[in-house]
Amino acid sequence: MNKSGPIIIIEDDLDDQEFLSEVFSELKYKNEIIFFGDGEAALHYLTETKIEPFIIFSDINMPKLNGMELRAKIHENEELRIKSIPYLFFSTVAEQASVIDAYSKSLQGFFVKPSSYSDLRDIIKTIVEYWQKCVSPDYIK
Amino acid sequence: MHKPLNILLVEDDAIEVIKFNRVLRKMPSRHLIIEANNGQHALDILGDRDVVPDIIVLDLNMPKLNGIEFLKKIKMDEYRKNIPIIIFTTSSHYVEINECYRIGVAGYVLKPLKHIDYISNTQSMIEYWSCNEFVN
Repeated sequence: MNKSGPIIIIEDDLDDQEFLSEVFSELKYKNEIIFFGDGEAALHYLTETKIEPFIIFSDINMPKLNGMELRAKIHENEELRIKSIPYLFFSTVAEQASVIDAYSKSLQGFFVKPSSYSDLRDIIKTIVEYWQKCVSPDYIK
Repeated sequence: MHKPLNILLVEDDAIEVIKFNRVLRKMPSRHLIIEANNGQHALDILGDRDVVPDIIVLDLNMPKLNGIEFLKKIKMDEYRKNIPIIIFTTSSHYVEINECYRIGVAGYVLKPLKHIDYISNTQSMIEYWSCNEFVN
């Protein structure tokens, strides 16, 4: 796990992107924040980049390649899987069917996006601090 | 935002169990802790389908069935394999960390020797999971 690597946010809603951008700016983490508007663009970046990201926050309902499909593709890709990048769903709703489907794809968290700015800031802080404390194998290509 | 958790704590050291309980008692949510003192004991507890933990907090070095053996068994159990498992151990050995992530864990947290760091790591882990959505 590369704790100084970029934090990847896959989110098609531009308002949500803006809120998240403000939260990360306020929290002042040194990680670069990279947004993608759909799963396909994110997958292309993840398979091409030489940089190992720190965490992936993914919405579920997105155009082209949705969050579940993207998670499955990352999990099936040996090169990406061994990087052990924490993959979290960060969704507006948590329908039981989605939660069941998500956990079957071996993810590391399923969060509902809070509606208030302060709750959003608190949850992002909780998530980042947990993964900063976790250890993982160093990825050696 | 923070919800009480049902936690299966798999830990053979009685002092560690007391420490874990103490930290959680001081947190705002009332978490339920089910205790198993080794991997085999945890499997026996999970044999009862009415026991449905949200997460499993797993030590590695234990008698009878150790943490990695337990992890392998649970990942082959269709009914239990999707429960998030968090390793909570003093072992920072690369081989064990690598093996745990390869089999599938939702975090690997070290138990620091300094008590203040132990509290911080434990609280961080519990806060993270108590914000999560789980399968009902």
